[in-house]
Amino acid sequence: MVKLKSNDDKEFEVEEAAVIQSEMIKNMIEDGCATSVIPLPNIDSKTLIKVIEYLNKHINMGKAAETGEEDDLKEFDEQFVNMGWEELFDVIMAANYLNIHELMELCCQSAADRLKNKSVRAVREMLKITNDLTEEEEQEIINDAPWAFEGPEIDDTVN
Amino acid sequence: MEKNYLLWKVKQQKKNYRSNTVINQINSVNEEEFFIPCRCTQQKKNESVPYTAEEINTDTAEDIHFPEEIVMNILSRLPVRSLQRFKCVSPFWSALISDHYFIMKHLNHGRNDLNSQKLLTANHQVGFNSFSLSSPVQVIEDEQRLDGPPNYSLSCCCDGLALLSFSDEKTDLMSFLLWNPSTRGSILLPSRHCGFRFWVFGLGYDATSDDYKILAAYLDAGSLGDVSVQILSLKSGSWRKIDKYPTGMRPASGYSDRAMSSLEL
Repeated sequence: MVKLKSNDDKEFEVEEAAVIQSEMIKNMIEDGCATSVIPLPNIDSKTLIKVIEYLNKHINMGKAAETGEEDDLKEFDEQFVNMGWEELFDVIMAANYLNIHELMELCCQSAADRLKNKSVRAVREMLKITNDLTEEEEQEIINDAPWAFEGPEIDDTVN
Repeated sequence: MEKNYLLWKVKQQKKNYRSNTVINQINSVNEEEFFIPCRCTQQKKNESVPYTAEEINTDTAEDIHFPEEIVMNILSRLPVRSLQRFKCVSPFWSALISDHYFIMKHLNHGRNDLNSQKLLTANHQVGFNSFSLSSPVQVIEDEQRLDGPPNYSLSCCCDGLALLSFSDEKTDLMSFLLWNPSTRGSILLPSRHCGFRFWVFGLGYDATSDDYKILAAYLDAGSLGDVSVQILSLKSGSWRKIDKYPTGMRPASGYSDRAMSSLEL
C-alpha cells in the first residue's frame, strides 16, 4: 500500500497496483522515495478522492478487454466526468501533476465536449478569462470567419 | 453563399500566371480572404500575429488558470468551427490557435480521431458535400453541403486540404485551387496548359522541406507510356518538370464527375 497526503493534511492508502498508473508516483516508488507518506501539495482531499476512485476502477484496465469489462469501464468513465466545471478543472490539474495519461485524456475530452458549442462570452466566463482584445481586433476575427459565430447550436449558457 | 461566389470571382480576376506571385500571395495572407492552414506558410503568418508568447504570458497570466499545455490539449480536440470562434476569447487564445505548433497538434489529433474523419465528394451538378464516417462500421451520415468554388472539380486530398482543378477549354488553361473546406480558405496556384486530357494529380506533405507538393502527370492516350510528370512545391510556387519517374504509369484515378477522398475537418 502507498500512502498519499492531500494539501489539507488528509491521508489516503492506495494499492500500489492502482497508484502506479501515475507516472510521477511510479517513478518515486522506483527511485525508493515512497517509503513513507507521499505529500501532494497541489491536490486537495476532495480532488484526491476522485482521482483515487478513478485509479481503483482502472486498476485492471489491461485485463478489461479480456474479461469483457470494457463496457463497464466506459460507463464508469461517462459517470466519472459528470461533475461540475470547477471540479473537472481540479481533476485535470491533478491528473497533469500526477501524470496519469488516461485520466488526462478523459477529462480534457470532457472539457472539450463542453466547450465545443459555447459562445465566446460563455467560454470567457467559464474559464474566467478577461478579454483583452479591442473591439476592432474582435471584429476583425469575426469578419475573418463570420460563419463560425452564427448557428442555432451556439450556446451562451455557462455550465 | 452568393457572397462567397462573388469572392471566387474576384479571386479569378486576380489570377496571375507568373509563378512567383503565387507565393507572394500566400505569404502576404490577405486575412479577409484566406486563412492559411498549411504548415509551410505558418511561420510568415506568425509574424503578423501581434502577440508573442512572452507577451501573453506576462499580460494575461492572471486569467489563465490552466498551463498553456493543458489549454492546448483541450483546444486540439475541438473542430475548426469552434476554434475560429474561440480566437475571439482572448489575445492568448487567438495566438495559440494560430500557432504553427498548435495547428500541427490539431491535425495529428484529427488523424487519430475517427469522429473527425470526413468524406468529401464533388459533383458538377450538386457541388461539394462532406459526410461523417461513424465508427466502427463506416456508415455515411451527416451530409453537409459545402460552399465550394463553382465549376472546379476535386482532384485529390491530403491533411484536410483539397486540390481543385478547372479546365478552361477556350484558353486551354487549367487552374488550380488549394482549398481548406474546414476554414473555407483557399489559395490559387499557378495554372498550366491543359494539352492532354488524361491528367492525374497527387497532393502530399514533404516533411524534409516542410512543404506541400502537388504532382501532376499526364498520360498520352495515343501512345501508352508517354508520360510527363511535373511537381509544384508551394514554397517555390512554380511547376518543375521531373525527368525520372517510374515507367509504365497508368492513371489510377482518372477523370470522373464524382471523386471521393478522405478529409479531416
